[in-house]
Amino acid sequence: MNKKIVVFISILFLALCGVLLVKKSQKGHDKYVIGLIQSASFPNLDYAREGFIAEIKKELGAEKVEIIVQNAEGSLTQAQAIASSFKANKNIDAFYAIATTAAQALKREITDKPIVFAAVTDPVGLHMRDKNSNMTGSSDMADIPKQILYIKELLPNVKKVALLYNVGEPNSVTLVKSMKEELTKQNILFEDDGINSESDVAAATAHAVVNAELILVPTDNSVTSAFPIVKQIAKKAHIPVVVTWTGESKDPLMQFGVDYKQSGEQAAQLMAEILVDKKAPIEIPFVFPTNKVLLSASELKIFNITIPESLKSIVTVY
Amino acid sequence: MLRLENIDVDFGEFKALKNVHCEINKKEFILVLGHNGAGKSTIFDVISGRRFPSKGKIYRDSVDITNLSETKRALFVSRVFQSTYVGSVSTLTVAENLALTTLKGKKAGFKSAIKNFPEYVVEELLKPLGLRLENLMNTPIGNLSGGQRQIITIIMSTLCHPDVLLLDEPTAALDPASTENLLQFVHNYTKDRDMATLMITHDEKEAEFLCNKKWYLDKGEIVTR
Amino acid sequence: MFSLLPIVTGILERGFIGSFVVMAVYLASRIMKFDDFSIEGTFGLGGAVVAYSVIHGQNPWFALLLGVIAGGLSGLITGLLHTKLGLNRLISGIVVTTMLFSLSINIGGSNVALGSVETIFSAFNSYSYGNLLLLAPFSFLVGIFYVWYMKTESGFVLRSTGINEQFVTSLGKSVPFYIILCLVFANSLSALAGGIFVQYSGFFSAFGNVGTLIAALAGCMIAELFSWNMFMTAILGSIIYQLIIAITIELQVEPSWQKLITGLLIVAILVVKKIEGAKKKVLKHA
Repeated sequence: MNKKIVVFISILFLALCGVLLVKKSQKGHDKYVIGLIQSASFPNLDYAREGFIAEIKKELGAEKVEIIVQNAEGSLTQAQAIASSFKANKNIDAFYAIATTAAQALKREITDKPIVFAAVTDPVGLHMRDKNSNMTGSSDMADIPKQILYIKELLPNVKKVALLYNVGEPNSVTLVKSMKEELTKQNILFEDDGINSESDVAAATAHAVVNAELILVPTDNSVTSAFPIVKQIAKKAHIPVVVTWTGESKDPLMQFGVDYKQSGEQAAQLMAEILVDKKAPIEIPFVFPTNKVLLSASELKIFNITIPESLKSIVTVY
Repeated sequence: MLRLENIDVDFGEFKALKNVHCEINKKEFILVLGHNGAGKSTIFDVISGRRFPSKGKIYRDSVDITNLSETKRALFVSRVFQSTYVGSVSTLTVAENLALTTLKGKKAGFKSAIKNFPEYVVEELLKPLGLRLENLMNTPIGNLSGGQRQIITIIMSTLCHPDVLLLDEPTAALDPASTENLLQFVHNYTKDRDMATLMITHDEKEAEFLCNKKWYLDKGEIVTR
Repeated sequence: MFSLLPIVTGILERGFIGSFVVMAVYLASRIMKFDDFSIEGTFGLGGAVVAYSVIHGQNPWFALLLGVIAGGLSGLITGLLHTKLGLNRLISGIVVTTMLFSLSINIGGSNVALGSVETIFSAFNSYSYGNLLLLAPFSFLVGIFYVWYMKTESGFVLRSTGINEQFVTSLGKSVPFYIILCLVFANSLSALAGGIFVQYSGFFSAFGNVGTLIAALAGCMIAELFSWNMFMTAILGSIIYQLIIAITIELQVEPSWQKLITGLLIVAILVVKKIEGAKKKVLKHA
């Protein structure tokens, strides 16, 4: 029996060595190698990946970049395993982390090479910008005070807003906190419609449309994934929806905020500064993507809304 | 020693036991006879506390034990089931099973369990049988034959000196030769002890030599014949 | 240049941490035949409690102890739901896991970084392989504890409960007590792993426990291929599982397929076992 164990482990171990050797021989000398780790598969995070890859190839030259793409698929242990694989790969020049948990997993393993992140809402609170930090990137913190102001101007009669979000997503929790502060300032009531997973979205939306006059969704991966259902239920109940991301094809009344593709592109530009101009990450302030305000023409018609003068220069109607 | 008074057991509409009245005394060997569904196993269930009666009382030396749980009653009522698998832990060795049995009525602490192995069982109970069971001590009990396993089970059930031993068709799963062996063993084993033994069987003739009393059950009642 | 060493260190570190969950799965699913879903939930709970405690200035070891106690309590609740309220085993575990999610998120927050607080690993940071220096003896000690416990009187009864409840009742021992005891053991182990993982990775995430159970199950099945004492092979199984995961990462398998690979791995192990079993039968009959 002991023999079996030894043989079994040896085979696995040799397989690992084999893979590593094969990869070693593929090494290109004059290339920038970037290790990319994504926390999970969500539409917004995919945009952040695609935007980055396209932009970094533009910045550095397509033939000069090699990107190792890994996805933890929501598992922390997996993220940690990827991070330690990245750490062992001496070819990698810099890292790109999409979303909070990926950035956190890398943060622990990688201390001597630059890490650029995207889709992290609160990098300061999560100790990513401490002294001597090797991290910088693009935050997806939307300008919530402005968003609430625009809602107020566009829908002056709204008395109560339903906040639809996953209570387990750090980004959502941060945004909702500031949404509540701003709503209170504007004298608008609100209610929490928190969910724990995508499967709760329908029930929470159904509750929201009965109790509020507007559904407001922060940058939430679970709601984004299940957004068609939200739209469907809201449409039946004749309740407008405002979302805090852009690029949504299912026609909410207002799309506000972060364009994740742009966020990825910004991260790529920061990466280029670090790699080409040899800047230290801590010297580069992390950036916020510019906020976009998109209004749906068909929804404006359905709810019979005319855009006030004050907003005309800011919004884009599509 | 044990007295059942006016026991009723209802399964919804169906009455499994009707107004059963009986007494079990020291040294008695009672054969429990009757057709399938006559209430033989139900009466065992009531005595062992596996099922509580719908009506009636059970006394042990004039103490009311009607509501005592099966776990608590196990200290003075031991039951051997029809299936040979129920009476012992199949993955543990014979020695380990015997060691476990000594925990009955004691707290299970953090001493090494196998140290409780009752050596005397081998010398006094197993060797005299001449069945070479003493050589199987370190074999998982699941590897033993049904007959061997049932003999060990009966020995295990009586190590704590119960008042009453319930044998629920212990030979049902055995071939004729093993059955004879087992009954002979039961006879020799119970005759010098104080405890009362009740045995359910379908073969009255075969087991008659064991008993000094018979209960016939019919439609939930003990009838004399 | 690639170097093998950091990868191997990582595999061992995660393997040792995971071994506690493998032991938990072995205790619940194998010894007690109680497939307890809440093991995944208590991994998160342990993490949440530990994250909260160390951030609020508790000693990291004391924090870990609090996490373990929280996990044990959760196991107690799962056990009570099953034994007292008669809830089905799977459902009890699922119900508790659901509740634990809310609990963990309210204790730990959806995501929180430990920053520069002291952890159980701080004291070992100055050694190269410091983490292993702590984790390896720790998981062996816990393993040895259970090896010892299973040989005690109490351990004997606990093992018997999973195989033959009627027998334990006949012994005059309470079956519910031993079921609950086993779940308390299993869930405190899982919470221990969760608590260590938070201190190891430096942050807590409410979704961090996703996939823990299936990984531990795979580890457990690998461990069962070897016929040593399970609590020792649990450590081995967990490490081998991490080794396999590391290979899939190095191979750059399309990440979305990785869960399929874990599933296939389990199926493959079952097939190997089936073949071995068939071989043994043939030998016996020959």
